[in-house]
Amino acid sequence: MNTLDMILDRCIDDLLRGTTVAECVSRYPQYREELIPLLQAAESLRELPKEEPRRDAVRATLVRVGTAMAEQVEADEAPQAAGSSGGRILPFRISRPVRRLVVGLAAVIVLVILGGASADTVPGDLFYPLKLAKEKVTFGLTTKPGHRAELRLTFADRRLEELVKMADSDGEVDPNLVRRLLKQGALALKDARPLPNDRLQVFLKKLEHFNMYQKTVLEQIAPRVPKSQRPLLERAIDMCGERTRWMSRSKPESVRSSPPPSDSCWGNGCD
Amino acid sequence: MERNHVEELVAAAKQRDPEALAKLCEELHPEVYRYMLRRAPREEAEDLANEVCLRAVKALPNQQGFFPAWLYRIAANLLTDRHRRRAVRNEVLVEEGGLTVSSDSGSFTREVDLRIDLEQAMAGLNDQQRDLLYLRFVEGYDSVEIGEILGKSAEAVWAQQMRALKVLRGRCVTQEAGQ
Repeated sequence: MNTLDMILDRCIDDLLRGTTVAECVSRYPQYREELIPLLQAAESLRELPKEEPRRDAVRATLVRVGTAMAEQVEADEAPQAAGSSGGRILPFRISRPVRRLVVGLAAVIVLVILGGASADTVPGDLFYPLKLAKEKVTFGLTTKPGHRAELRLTFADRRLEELVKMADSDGEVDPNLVRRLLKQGALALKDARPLPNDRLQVFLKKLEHFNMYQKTVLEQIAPRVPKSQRPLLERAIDMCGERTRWMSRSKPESVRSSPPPSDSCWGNGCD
Repeated sequence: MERNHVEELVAAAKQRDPEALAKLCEELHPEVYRYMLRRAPREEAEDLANEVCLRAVKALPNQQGFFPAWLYRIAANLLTDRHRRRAVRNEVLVEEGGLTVSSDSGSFTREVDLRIDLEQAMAGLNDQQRDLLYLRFVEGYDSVEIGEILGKSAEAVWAQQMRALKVLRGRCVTQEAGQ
């Protein structure tokens, strides 16, 4: 076993938890020359895109899985039913676990169908309020701070997706949607604060990247909307830039102890 | 995905808890999809991920050991089956040389030069090196877990990780020099 292999692996663990290359290398000065180029390459890999499948594809999988499961249960239960159907109104027996499963599957399928109807909606669409209501329910059922903060990012990502769709189809954006987008970012930071230092550090990095991404997307939308809406988007772009800079300088301790910068949308001013 | 969280979901899904099963599929599909996306165009990767989830659910009662390793084996077997079938028909599913970036993957992030350079550099790695780096840096597994997925010891993963990073570094330097 090569010691350098092992040290590099430890450094990568640290890097993924938010430690810098310089900090990693300072712990192993004797391997400095070998480690620096490898850790720089490793650091660049954090930029790799995390491609997501289309929501429709995931929904299709859920439906197929639900159907397959129901068929499997039916097949499992068939021999029992065949032997014990006398004396009942129905010509087959439904055991309690199967009833539970059928009810559960029905709930999942309803969720999938409702989700399907509302998932691609934008403000102004009939099912858009359903989409927001579903998000509220999901958020209300989530108790862990890390999961809540992640959900906020998911919601912010959806608002961004809706903005792009609106800009593409209508040539303008809903100002409330821009505010909701920025507010979710601010609330994500708030919800992440109780996390332990190492997880908070990773989350801050993620939030920083997300803000950069938001900024890039908004910059691409801005030229496509009417002039009257550009100041709103320009303000949002500035805000994303300020947030990114603030997060790149912040340490977990300072995020917990001191308030975010003057930007009012870090607080409750986005409504 | 957190390991404990997955284990809880798997245990509940084995008891045929429909919500756990749905949640498990929702969480696994994107990871399987990314694995397939490194080998197939976008739409085909989605279909393949769909098929892997279905096979996984059917075989779930017999599942043992580290769940992601088991799942990746199903994915690899599916690819082997497809490859074999297509080879018979003289078609090619897995492109030589590895990373296939689908033509319609036009997300905004793709337009960032740095990422394109990085993906070009990644294309110089062999399949297993590339999988290792994606598992480590995108999916967030540690070396021991990657060892279980790839069927190697943690030491072998360390060594391969170092070799992959050296190749990557070399290619990035070459790209920089060429600009």
